[in-house]
Amino acid sequence: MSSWQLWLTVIGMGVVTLAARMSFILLPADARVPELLKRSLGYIAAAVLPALVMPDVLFRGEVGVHGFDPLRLIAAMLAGLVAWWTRSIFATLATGLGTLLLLRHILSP
Amino acid sequence: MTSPKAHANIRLESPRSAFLAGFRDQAPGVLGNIPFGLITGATASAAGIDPVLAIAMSIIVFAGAAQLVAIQLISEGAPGAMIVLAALVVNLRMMMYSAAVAPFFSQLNLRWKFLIGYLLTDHGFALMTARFTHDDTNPHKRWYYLGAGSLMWMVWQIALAIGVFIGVQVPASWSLEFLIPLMFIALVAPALKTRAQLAAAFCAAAASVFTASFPLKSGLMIAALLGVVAGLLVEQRTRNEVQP
Repeated sequence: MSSWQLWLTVIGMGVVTLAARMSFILLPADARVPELLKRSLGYIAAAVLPALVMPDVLFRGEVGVHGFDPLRLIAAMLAGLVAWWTRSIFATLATGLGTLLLLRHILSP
Repeated sequence: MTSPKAHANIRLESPRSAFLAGFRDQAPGVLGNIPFGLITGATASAAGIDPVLAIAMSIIVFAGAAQLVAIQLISEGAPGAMIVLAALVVNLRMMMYSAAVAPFFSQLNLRWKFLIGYLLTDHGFALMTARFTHDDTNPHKRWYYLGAGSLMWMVWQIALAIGVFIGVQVPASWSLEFLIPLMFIALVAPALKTRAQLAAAFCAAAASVFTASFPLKSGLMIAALLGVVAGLLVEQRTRNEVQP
């Protein structure tokens, strides 16, 4: 993308993000929100993040290169286990990146 | 360490004391966000994004997960519309936070409401709902929220800027871009507590594999939608079990 397209994209991101944040704050206090919508919102974080991660781990190799890299999958699975057990961001990142770099180092010709 | 509720009985008597209380209560959450900001900045540099653009994006959008997705998509050469759409999907959860904090601020004018919306984060939402009940009449709630939000904002921007300049120094062989999916894995773990949430996560993850090649990031939306439906269905079933 050209420079002005990138800036336009960033401004667009800002607009939609602010819209999501303002949505219910701008509604009048007595507005009725469907119960189903409220309940659905509670599952968005749980659904969106895994849907972002899976294709990224399965179908992407090095930056911009598409293709399956088993080392990324192994590293991501270990990181997932650590995230589940420890709930620690740092431990998750260290496990995932450490595993990937270690496996690459061992297996490099 | 005390929870915000533990000193909820300390009176927020003035805008100043409320602001400082918010500042203080937000500090632990802010510390946890420093590595997130550093990594977001560093991956932006690793992806070859102009430092000025990376910092401007952070100020305009101020939403870490959306920034990470955008960095990844920009480095892949994705079209702008797709990036905006992905940012919206990732930030739809903000609607839930917006609904939760709206009753605290319903009396405020539009300018305040925009400020509150702009500063709304996972942490700000958690802090407000932990500290106040919806019938709390304290007039200084807004200052408490502003104290918490402004600390988060400042520290996030500083961490990100430092990350941008560190990222320039890191060689590509360190695979810093792999930190993006890892960060998402770390972020989703605390959101998976109930069976219904687990169902939402697994269903969305499975669906995303089959929809990955759909155009304009629509696969992400479809997979997320299927995940939400799975969560609702399991929640419904769990309820039926509890009340026969």
